[in-house]
Amino acid sequence: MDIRISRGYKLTEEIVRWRLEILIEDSADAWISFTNPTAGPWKRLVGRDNSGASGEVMRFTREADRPDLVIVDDKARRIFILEAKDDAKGLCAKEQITKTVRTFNDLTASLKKISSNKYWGGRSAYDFIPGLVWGSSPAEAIADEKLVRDSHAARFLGLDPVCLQIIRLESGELTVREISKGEKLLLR
Amino acid sequence: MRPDPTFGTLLFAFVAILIFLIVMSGMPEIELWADSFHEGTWVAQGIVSEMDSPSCARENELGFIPRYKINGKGWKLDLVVFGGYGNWPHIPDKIAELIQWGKPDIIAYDRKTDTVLFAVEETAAVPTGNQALQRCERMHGAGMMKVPFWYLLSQYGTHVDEGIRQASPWPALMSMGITKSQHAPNLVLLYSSVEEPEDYSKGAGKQQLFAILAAIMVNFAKGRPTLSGTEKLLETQYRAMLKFIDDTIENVSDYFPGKDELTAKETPLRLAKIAAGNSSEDIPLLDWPKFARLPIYFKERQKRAKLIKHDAFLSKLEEMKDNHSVYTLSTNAGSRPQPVSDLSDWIASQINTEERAPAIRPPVGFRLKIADFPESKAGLRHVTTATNILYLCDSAKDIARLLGLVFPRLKKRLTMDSLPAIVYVSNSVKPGRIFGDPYTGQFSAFSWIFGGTSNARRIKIAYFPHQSRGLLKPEIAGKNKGQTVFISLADYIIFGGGAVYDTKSKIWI
Repeated sequence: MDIRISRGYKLTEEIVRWRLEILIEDSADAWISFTNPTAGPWKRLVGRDNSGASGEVMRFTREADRPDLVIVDDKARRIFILEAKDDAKGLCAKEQITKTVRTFNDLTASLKKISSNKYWGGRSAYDFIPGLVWGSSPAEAIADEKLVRDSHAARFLGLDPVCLQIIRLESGELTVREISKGEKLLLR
Repeated sequence: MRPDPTFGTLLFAFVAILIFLIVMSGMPEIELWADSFHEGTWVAQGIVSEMDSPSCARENELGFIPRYKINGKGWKLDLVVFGGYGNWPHIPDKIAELIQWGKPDIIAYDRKTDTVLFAVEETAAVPTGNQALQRCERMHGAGMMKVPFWYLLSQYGTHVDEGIRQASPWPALMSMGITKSQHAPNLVLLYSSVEEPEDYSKGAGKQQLFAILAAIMVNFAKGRPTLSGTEKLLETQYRAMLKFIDDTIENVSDYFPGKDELTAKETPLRLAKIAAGNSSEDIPLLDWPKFARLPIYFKERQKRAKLIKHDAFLSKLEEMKDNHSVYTLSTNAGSRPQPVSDLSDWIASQINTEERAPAIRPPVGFRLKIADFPESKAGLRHVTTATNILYLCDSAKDIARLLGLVFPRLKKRLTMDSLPAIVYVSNSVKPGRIFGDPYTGQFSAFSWIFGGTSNARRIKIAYFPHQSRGLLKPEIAGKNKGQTVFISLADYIIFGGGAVYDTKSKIWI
């Protein structure tokens, strides 16, 4: 890869979120139910029926707050509702934290009520876990982790959010580091 | 004397690098620039699905940049996806120029020849009302740069009243105008069905889109001209688009010139040949005539209409319909009254902007007050003046004369050509709103549909009775998409109080 690209790209929310999606796509256990900027049919949260076919579960209105990612792990019976940002600072801005928590609570409440959609099935009884994902560097990773944890402490009513850092190495390569204390998304 | 091992190592490395560069320089590669990685990979996968049984493997460079390595029969191609236009240091100038008109979802680029091969816009938004016009400035940008452009749009959508509506034909008409003028493909493709509105898998549009993009990619891989061998595909697409226009034109206009050509069997192929660069003929479509040449039934419908909110200039323009030198296309526009509190804020802001605007001579005297806006039954205020937003005028000279009558400051100072004209009206009061959706899309579309062909050029006039001239900043227009659209397309932009910006001479009158 051209060194200008590998060194010069901006680690934005789009890239942060996308990097995590690639990891999930390669996962045997988890799959993506919703991602914010979708091509084709958009603002739809999808599920899977018993045969594995995908279908719409709900859709967000134009004005509604939306998470960046919703990931389902049928094996562990968990639903992860994630917020992604360019960096830890963006994730920890006061208004952002309020929005992240509100979005998690509202969507959890909505999804828990859905019981007769064949693509959602019994997932309303799953555990709903909040998640935070942000861009970082090897030099800033530790400080970023502390900032995110401290800022979000006790904000999710007893739940520990999954925390994922998308770390940009000197080569430009992005690696994913999970530092979740409670439930895990990637690590088992 | 022993040979120097360092020299041998260096020579070996040099030769190895040279061989590598020779090999790599032979690998055709297309950059797919996209609004998001999802858009880019969706298109890449769609393109591969329409190729003739290629093998395709995907790698993720740096862990996240998708590279599709495609091996066809006797050709190879790499597609590399760069998601998010603003994320990259190496964005080509041509893409930067194209996206200043609005960001298409996908742009395909060949770095070796610095060529944009195509741009694509697709939407899942319900295509009723002004929605379908919202992205028309992107079509305009592609048209200006002669970049092949496809707009994938849902033909049907569920309206807020839960009825099923069809998409507006305006974007398709605009495509037709661009194809004719610029001799480059510009097409609206439709998906969905009445039973399954907004379903991408219904209708032919999605498959048609990926089929033509795949053909372009294979041409590139084989070193052939971009549109080589695509006439048949283009003909099918134009046929579907023209049928759609024929089915829906009466929703927006009571008259369409060139109906015979629109429905003639050979017209789609003629347009395909023009688009593919294989013909330079001029098809008599979109040649909107002067009043005298209108059909009788349509002339008889041209009667002065009452205005909801009074406007002196538009009143006179409506009178010109009785004088048989101005016409409008339909009478089905409505009014959206606004809350008094919002209107008061906007008026205050407009007056403030006017006071701070650089002085021009003679003074403008732009005034707005709440009392000017009639009250609706629900206690809101009507901002709509005429229910028509588009007037087709036999002579721009007449428009200049009317403006001089209504705005004394323009008397003997504003002269216009005697070419026919269009007058586009936006009644918006909210400051600067005119430089956003849907107005930029509307004006882009109307400019190509009514003012852009060589056979029937019209002077293009935009009239904003409730906006202060202080909102237009020609010196920074390049940084504001909406202002760029109006300044590049309109011949004259008229603000409240009769302040006129001549875009060609770049002066305030």
